[in-house]
Amino acid sequence: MQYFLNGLPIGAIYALVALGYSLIYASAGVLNWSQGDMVMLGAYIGYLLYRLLGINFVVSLGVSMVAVALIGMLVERSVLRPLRKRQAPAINMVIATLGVAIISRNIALVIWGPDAQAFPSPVGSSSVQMGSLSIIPQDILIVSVGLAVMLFLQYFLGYTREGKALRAVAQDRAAAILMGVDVKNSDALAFAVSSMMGAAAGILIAPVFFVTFNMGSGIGLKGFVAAVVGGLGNIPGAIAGGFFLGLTESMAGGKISSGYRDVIAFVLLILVLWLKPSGLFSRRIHQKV
Amino acid sequence: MLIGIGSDLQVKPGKSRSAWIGFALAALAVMVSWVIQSSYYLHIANLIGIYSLIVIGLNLLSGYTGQVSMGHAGFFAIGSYVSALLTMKLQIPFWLSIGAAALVASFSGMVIGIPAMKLSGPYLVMATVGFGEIIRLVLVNWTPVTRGAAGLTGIPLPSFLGIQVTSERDFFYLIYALVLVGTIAALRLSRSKVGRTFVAIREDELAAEAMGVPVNSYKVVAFVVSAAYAGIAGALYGSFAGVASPDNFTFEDSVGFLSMSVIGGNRTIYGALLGSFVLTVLSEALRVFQTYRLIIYGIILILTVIFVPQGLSGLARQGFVVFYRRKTRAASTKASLKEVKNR
Amino acid sequence: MNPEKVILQLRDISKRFGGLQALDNVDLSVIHGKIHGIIGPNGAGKTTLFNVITGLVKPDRGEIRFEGKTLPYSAPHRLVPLGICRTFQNIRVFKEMTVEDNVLIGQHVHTPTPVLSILAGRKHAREWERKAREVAAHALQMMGLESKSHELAKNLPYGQQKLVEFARALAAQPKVVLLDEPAAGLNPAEKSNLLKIMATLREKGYTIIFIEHDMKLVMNICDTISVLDHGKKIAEGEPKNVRNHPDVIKAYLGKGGALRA
Repeated sequence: MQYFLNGLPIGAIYALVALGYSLIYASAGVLNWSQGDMVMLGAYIGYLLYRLLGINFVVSLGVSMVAVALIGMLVERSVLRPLRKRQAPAINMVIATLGVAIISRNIALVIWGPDAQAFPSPVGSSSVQMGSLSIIPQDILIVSVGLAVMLFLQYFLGYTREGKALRAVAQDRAAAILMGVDVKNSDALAFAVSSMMGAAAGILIAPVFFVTFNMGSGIGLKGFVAAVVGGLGNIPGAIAGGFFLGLTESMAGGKISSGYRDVIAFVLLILVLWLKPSGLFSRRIHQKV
Repeated sequence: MLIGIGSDLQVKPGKSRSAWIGFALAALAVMVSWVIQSSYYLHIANLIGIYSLIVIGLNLLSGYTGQVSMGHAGFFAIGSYVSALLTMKLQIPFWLSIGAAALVASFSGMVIGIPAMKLSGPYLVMATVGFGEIIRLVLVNWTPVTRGAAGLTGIPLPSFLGIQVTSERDFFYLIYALVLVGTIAALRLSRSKVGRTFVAIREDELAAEAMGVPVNSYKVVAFVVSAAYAGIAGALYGSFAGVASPDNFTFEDSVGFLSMSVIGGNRTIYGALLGSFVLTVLSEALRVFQTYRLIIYGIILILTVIFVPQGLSGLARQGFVVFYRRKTRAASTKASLKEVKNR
Repeated sequence: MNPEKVILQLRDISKRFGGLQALDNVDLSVIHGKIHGIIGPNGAGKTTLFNVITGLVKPDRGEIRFEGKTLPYSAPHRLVPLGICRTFQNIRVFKEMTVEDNVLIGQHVHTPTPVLSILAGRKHAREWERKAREVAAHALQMMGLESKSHELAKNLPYGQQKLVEFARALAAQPKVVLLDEPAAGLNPAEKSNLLKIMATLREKGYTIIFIEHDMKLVMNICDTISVLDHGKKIAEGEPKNVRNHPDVIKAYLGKGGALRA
């Protein structure tokens, strides 16, 4: 039970990052490897506002999300769009987004230096005993804000005009174009929303892991794993995949060994992929001959 | 983009084309080694040689067969550690340990190739990333053998046919001898039935299968061959650097190899040499910018994949195609220009 | 050779995709050396039938016999050496390969892969390569594509790409060739060229099964026609009998129509 509780907050973080991968993959058909660095940028901007300027946490969270969303749109505009215009191979898009990751990481290094920065939790990081279980207030904050952001995403995709357009593009890009959806806008929107969720994940995780220029690498990779497990491009799948990965890690880390925890997670993933090549939470689609 | 198989034979059907290329490369290497006096430049040249071997293998896998790997640092690491441990603990001669490194790396290529043969696109990427991470994490955690995060130090200098390799220049000859052999082997393979079948799998797996190609076996073969190249490169790297630590074999390193492959042009063999050269030199040359170095590196990376989508060797080839056709078949010039434009 | 020898026989083949019965107890006997047409409205199960024969789709039930022996269900590539090869409805040439290389892939199962000899650059490997190219040149000549052999397949017009696929299938030296709508999208000149090629192949002893929508084409060249509708075989026989079969007319045109011929 304790492991379950410990797995929830990290699962929520993975889910937020996984959603970013899935949303961009579904709508733009691209693996965005800079997703993890949007997490890092979100954390740093949050750090700047909340810690250095002493601005209220909620405001910091909001401003940081908006700022990183703008960065995401900039990335779409300056990197993805030219590639798409030239019909570059998919692997070029992968390399380009990796380039974005390198750039953002090093800009952060230049601005904030190589040292890890402490980000105090707005609600407290010491555990509170509840019966046999110990609960950390920051974890509750992570899970609740994480869920709120996911709910917001559901609302956005389900009930707003832009969100519906995005879903249409994700389902069938060609048909969406024929129906008059502006796919360029929807790509930009996918990047904005994904980056926004990354930023939220960054601020939420910052009090747990500290803020460093290369924090995006690990979280980005895990988020990608979660997205793939959930079936890339599948929105509920990404959330399920995130929590699944977080809980599995927590259990494996507690029950077996923390050093080999990640090894087990990855071996499990390759086995899962082998047995069910398109993700745990998605149905297999047959190729038409 | 033209593939270096039939189109090449069409241009020059000479029977010993690869031998000729090999001779030219060897001559070039010897000349370079005379010209370069500073050991710093020789060091860079040696790194380029080692990376070239990895990227040649990566091109066969990703460029020819269409199976993108973002976990090649894993095979590289296996080669390094296997060779280092064998020479350190069992005092096995270097040339044998290189063979063992290639063998173990190939075997791991088969192990990952089997689940990977069912996967494509992002799922394959995931599996290869997972493989690379597993290897790195095992190196960190299997302390009794790998000495954990600190890594192996004091890997002995290799001796080859009774000659002790000590200086950067000695390494240059050793490394480039292997690059030469590796390049010729890859060129011959790529222009044979095997290379043609790899490309067919990349182009249309299902059609290849329907034409009688055992697609799954060929995919595993591509993984095995590619891993062998990375394994040999790893063995060289270990003895060259004298150390092997998990930090040398991260996801970022895999990404670096893939970047070299794409920037050089992953659908040719010499694109691998070109990509390794350009990115390694670039990364060194940018050192004058100090902290801004990687920012500029990233920008150049992005600009290259946008404006030279087929990689540098693709660019060279396009120029060649236009030139060749204009010369020989004036009538079809229009078509070939259109073809170039379409890319 | 006995002209009435059955080379390929399907018994009770059924295949279901979710709620759709794609094939429903289909029996089919293909006579050696004949051209056998498969017709039927869209969604009748024609391509599924091809996929079953070539091993791409495993039937839920039924048996396929080829030259008197039951075909085990296995990977599609294992059927090619036995003498079954196909083309696809939507062109599936290897776009970034030359026309010649496309055809060489068709020969895959008939050429050895002397890896050591290749790596050593030995004469042996080059000799095989040369022979393979001769065979390929022959297949291309038959299609009238010999001048295009060094073009990239994607740069050829649609009709010629279809012929490349045809040549690629022939290079596999099949006894039975399955053509999935070979004439679709061709202009009249290309169609008559295709008919000529098919007739030549029949003379040479090939067995051809083909799916086609162009009734005139089917009626002109086929020895036997089978009609599929909703996964069931509703009629079979010589063209003139099938043309006037009431069920066929109903399936194609609804009631009261007549087939153009």
